Amino acid sequence: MKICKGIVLSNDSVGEKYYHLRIHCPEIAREVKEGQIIHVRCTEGLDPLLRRPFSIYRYDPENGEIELLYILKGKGTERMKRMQKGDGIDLLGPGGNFYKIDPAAEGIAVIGRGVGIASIVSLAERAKKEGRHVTAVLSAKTESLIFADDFLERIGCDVHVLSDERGTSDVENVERILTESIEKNKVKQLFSCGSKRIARLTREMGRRYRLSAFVSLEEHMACGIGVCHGCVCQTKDGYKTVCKDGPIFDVNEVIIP
Amino acid sequence: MKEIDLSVKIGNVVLKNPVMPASGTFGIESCEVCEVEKLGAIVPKSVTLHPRDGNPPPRIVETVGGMLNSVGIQNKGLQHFLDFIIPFYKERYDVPLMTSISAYSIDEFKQMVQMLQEDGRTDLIELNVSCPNLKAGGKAFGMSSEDTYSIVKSVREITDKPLIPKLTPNVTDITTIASAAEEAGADAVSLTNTYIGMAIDVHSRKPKLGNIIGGLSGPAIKPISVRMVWQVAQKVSIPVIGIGGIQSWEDAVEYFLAGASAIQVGTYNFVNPNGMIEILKGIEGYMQQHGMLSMKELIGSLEIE
Repeated sequence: MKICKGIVLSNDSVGEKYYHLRIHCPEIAREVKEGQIIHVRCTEGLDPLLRRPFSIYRYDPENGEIELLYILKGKGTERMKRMQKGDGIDLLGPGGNFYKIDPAAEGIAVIGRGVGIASIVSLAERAKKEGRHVTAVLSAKTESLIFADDFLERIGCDVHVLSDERGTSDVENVERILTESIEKNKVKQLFSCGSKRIARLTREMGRRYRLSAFVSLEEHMACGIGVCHGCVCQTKDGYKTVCKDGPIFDVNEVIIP
Repeated sequence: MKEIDLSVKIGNVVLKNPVMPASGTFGIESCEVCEVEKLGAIVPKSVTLHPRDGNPPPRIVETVGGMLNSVGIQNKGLQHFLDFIIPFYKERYDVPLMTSISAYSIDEFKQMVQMLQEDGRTDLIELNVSCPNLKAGGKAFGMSSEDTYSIVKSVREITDKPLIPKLTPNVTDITTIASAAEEAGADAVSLTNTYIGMAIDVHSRKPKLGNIIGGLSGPAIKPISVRMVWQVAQKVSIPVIGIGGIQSWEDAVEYFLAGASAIQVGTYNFVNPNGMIEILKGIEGYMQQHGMLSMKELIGSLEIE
């Protein structure tokens, strides 16, 4: 965990609501792992006051680059949208735990919903580099809100694009895709981000097929380092901080509302 | 160039400088990103006698220039504090430790101070008589002069360590509470704690905090806390520790001019975990610029026509 100044390399609009921010920040690029959090100070001013947390989207330790994929949601991201190439950016991170792939898993499945897709892309990338099968289920309200599908296909993931507008994103369909993948591709772990419905499904399927399943949670944060206990979630073991104990939790430990 | 003496004395303890964190905004995790050895004092999160789960989430909500919190002092209790938290700081840093305690009865306060006194490793004790995140409409001991007096008086008999009640601003006249604390034997008073507030989500029509109400902190409250520090500093002769919305050295200097002998940085630690050190450098720069050699020259040097 470090406080450091990065330099914005690019900050481009992607689709209707997303932005893709590339930052040169070797200190964080060297340290960050899949699924961890980067806290961005969106303005030097007082509004918004607190940093905004983002899952790492992709990172490249050799070139000292990190990438965030964010959705325009409020004051913080509206400010971030104005950042331009060459601007300094105040970062705190990497924070929290990271996605851990079971060395014995021949295959894994990653399921991202909406901007939650951002969190699972680098995980899929790592699994592919390690020679594992990856089933990637990308879901959103509309197809225009799906991203990274081309990239994931290119690196050899088995990609499924689902949307509400096409009526393909229902839990039953996700279950069907995962079931097929579990049976065919020796999937041993399920990772999801962005949908409580899907997290519950992975819990149920994990029990049924004796797989481990993990969910990355999102919460408003203040300190981002585990001090303030502002971002807690309920677990079987009491309240835990999303910023430090998480953001990734075993679906059997965390209480998914 | 003459060396500037930033030290201040609270009771019988000398702090090498007047900058420290406000409880609840600094912890073991902060040490990775903050130059802790440079602080005037270490103030860990408030601890209670027994472990507390804290309040139901959501616990924080950002407001314009500030934030509301209703964390509810989630902590593992005083025994855990003695076994793990105190050794962590004491083994690493040669910085006075100000333990902040919160309790729900006078007996509990007494029991906790007794344990800290016997343990001996705490240098100063902050009595959090003002945490507003309680049920019963946020009522706290610190809302009454009598209760504040009773708490300070009853723990004064147990310990020789500096006692610093942290006062709530949610009162009619904070100077009467401060005077009661002084009369009961407090070595200093710290103020202010957070202001009870509320935020509502207009779409869901629900409170934004799980606890419905919470404590407002951050730059938005600074002018009110500066005013209270100024009023209290004129009324009492013990040191005042100023707290509320400090984000820069200029903010800190305002508190000193108003009469604070030391300051605590709270919400800003969330924005910049090493901000206290930058503030400290700024205070030194200001004193240098104005030819001040010691904190005595700065404290309370407000000029009123």
